[in-house]
Amino acid sequence: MRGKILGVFLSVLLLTLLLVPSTLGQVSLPRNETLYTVGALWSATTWSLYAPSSTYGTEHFLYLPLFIYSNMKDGWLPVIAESYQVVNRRTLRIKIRDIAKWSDGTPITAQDVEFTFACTKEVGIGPGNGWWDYIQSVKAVDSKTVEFVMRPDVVNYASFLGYALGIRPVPKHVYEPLLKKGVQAVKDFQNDDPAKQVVSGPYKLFYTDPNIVVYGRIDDWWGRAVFGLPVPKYIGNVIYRDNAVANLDFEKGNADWAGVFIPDVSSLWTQKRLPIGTWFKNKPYYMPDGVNLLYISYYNPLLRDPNVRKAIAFAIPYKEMLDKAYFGYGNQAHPSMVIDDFEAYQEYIDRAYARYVWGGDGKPKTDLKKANEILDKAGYKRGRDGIRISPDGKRMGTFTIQVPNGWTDWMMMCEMMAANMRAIGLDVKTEFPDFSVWWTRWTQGTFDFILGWSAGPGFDHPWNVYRLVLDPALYKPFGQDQYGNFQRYNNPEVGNILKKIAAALDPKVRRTLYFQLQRIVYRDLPVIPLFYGAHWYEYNETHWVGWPNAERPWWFPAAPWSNSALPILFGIAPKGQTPKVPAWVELKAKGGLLIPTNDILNALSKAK
Amino acid sequence: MPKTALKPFLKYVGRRFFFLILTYFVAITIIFILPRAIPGNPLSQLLSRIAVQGAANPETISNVQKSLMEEFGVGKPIIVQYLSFLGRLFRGDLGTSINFYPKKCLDVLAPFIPWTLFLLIPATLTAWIIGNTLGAVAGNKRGTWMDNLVLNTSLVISQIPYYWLGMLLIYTFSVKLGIFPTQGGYAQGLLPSFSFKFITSVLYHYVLPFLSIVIAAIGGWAIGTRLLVIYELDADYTIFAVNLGMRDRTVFKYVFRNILLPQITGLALNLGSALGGALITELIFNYPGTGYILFRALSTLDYPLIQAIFVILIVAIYFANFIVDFVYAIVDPRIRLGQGEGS
Repeated sequence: MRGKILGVFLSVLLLTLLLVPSTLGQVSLPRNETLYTVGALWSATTWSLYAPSSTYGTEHFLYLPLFIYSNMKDGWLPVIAESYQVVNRRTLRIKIRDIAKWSDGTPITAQDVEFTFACTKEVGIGPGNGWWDYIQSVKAVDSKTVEFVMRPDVVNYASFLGYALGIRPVPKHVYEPLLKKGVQAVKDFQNDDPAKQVVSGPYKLFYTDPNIVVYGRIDDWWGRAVFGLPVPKYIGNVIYRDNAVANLDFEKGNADWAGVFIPDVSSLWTQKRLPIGTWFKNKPYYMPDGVNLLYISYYNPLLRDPNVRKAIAFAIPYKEMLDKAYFGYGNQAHPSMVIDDFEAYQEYIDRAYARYVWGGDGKPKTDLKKANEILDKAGYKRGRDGIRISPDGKRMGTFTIQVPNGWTDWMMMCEMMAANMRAIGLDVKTEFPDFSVWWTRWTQGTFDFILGWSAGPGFDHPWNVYRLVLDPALYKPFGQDQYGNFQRYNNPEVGNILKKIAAALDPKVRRTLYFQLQRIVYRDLPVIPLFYGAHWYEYNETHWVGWPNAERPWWFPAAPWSNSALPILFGIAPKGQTPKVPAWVELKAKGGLLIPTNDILNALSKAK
Repeated sequence: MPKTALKPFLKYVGRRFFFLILTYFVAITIIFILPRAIPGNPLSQLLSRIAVQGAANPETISNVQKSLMEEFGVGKPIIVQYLSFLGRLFRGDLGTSINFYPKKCLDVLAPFIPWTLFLLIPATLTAWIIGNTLGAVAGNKRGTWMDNLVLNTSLVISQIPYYWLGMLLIYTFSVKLGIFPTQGGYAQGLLPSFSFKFITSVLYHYVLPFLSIVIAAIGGWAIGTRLLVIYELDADYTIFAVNLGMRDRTVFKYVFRNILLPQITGLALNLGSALGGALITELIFNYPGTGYILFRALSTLDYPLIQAIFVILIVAIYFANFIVDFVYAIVDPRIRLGQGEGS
């Protein structure tokens, strides 16, 4: 009997191992040459950009954009591109580096860029998706110069520049034959054969299975002459089941570069004495990454009154929420929705007016008395159960406030907000549905209160937040899917201002327009800004050192999931060696390669 | 087999086959409807991933959503979706996964299947053999200390939720004692290869999930076998045999053969469902099996992938069931001949 068990056991084992690809000569990845990342918890899909969501790493390490943007330095790093030239106010030319080559040796050309845009339009998904709403034409002037012309009817510099500078070209000689077979052939392309991958970046796929995706460095990468080589020879992204498992491995030093929510992160170095760091040593530990808002839908007529909204803004326990539920990982958001943690954006806030409306430093402070007064004055009388009755006789509730189940920090915040809203006489309870249900309600506008994200720092901030949250162009009836304007705020005046901002090159003009917008936002309160979400970024120095942080802020965005974090791989070093920050991460004026956004905008405004 | 016995046999097999097809059809209809009864947008995870990955550009998200809705037929009338699902299934196409788009469901599943079989087949067989042996011995020595020991331990063990057992094992052997790894199918940093290092790593990671399944399953088998043995020991033929003066060992041999019959059915069904993986065990150990991928599919409402997993699973269970029926008909003349009498 025992022999039989052993026999079955061994034969199954043998079978398994035969099914696993065993062609690889190498047995293990050398730890001192391998960087392990944490944060992308989904398994491999495709290594083609013509997919709704490609495998983590595809746009991070495999396919480079023309320029990489750093929001901390507000500058553009020319990667595949070498320079730009403004032809006129609607036309931009980009010169591609002469040495830029695909990994198979074919030069990267303007035709590749032209093809990438054309292919996206035909396929409906892919790099630069939606470009046709803003760009009239993309043309190769010669093999290394590509020309972008803005649509005359939609003057929107933010989107125009975003598409033109940020595009990740794909190799035409790989995709054109696929496109000839049909759109579906492009969509189905998985690009999963390391031997056949044709990439522009310094890495390509080395190995993959359901547990891990490993990228291997291309040692004769074309960019070597300009940028040097990234330091890690391999990048491994382990696909963990969930954050808890991932965090445990990160603490152990099995992973080096993380971008995940870690509860009480400072205890890792203050109590456990681990060589782990985040951007800041002290609160808020993380850089801000986006504005998180309390969306109040116009779906329920009882919640349309700005007085009710304003009372809620004063009822929210901002500080308590951030301290208790968020471990202090972010600051209270400015009511203007502009991220005031970044120096560069501060000029867009009308501080005097914010102070006039909200008192104090311009951010609403939790004040239940004041909230009650606002409601009393607006005619909302308390009923017998303590819940208020609207002026037209309707009970204020029961409303729900929701976030996806399992988002523990946000769930706790919802409980706190609901408690305070009940205290001012609004009957609010929490609901934590499955993510997919929550998403449906959020994007269809069929909710009372939802805690959700918006947009983050970028060269087009705060326009990006305003347009996502307020743009009437994104208005859809309740029950129809729309990513943006979730609460269904329909104000044509806001639409006009947004259009004007997008078309304005003069910072002074933009500033005035932002100030106008803020007056409307404070009056109508379509949403209530709560706090800045954290840019999750943690590093473990057990195996790799030299990570950027507040003391050595040599590059940001720094999270592994950010598709603008590639430069970090050039400035870290294995433990024991001295890391060297590459010179090119600086702005041009400081001897680097970065082109300030304002240089480009100025050049455009000076042109005819 | 004599000629007279063949006709009822074919009839029996034919009837089983007919019911098989019928229930299969019902089953796939249910697995089509059930995931769709869960509220929520199956594209939500995919779309939010795009939103979070940086380019939170409303145009991109709307375009992708439009393109995917067309491709997956989400939003079309349910009957249209159903017919296209059946049509594709008929051609052997299990469809494209939503969350692993553009991967085909079969391609998504393929790498998980060997891991699951590798875990569950040996574990199920081991539990079956140990459980049956223990149960038979206990039943034979009814009332002794050994019976008490086996019965009581089995009762307790079979009532332990196996996921809790798994967590207990991790806590004791991985977290506290640090003997075994906490998660995964093999050590991080290794590349699958036919090498000593890799195979030992696989076996090392195998121990805890294997044990958690074996321990949890032994109890059930042992209790069942013990009962069957006791029942058979009281049967007329046993008493007759004992009275004839047959040796205990010989009697027990006959008894054991008789009790194996129902236990074989149980084993076959267990092995058939092995393809579905041990959902929670695989989750707890982060073991790359089909149960793990099924969990992912369910939690993201990946309709095509959920369907594909169940279609394969149902086929496997039915196949096992069919084989059992077939084997029965050969092994047990009563079943075969019973068909002839019925008509």
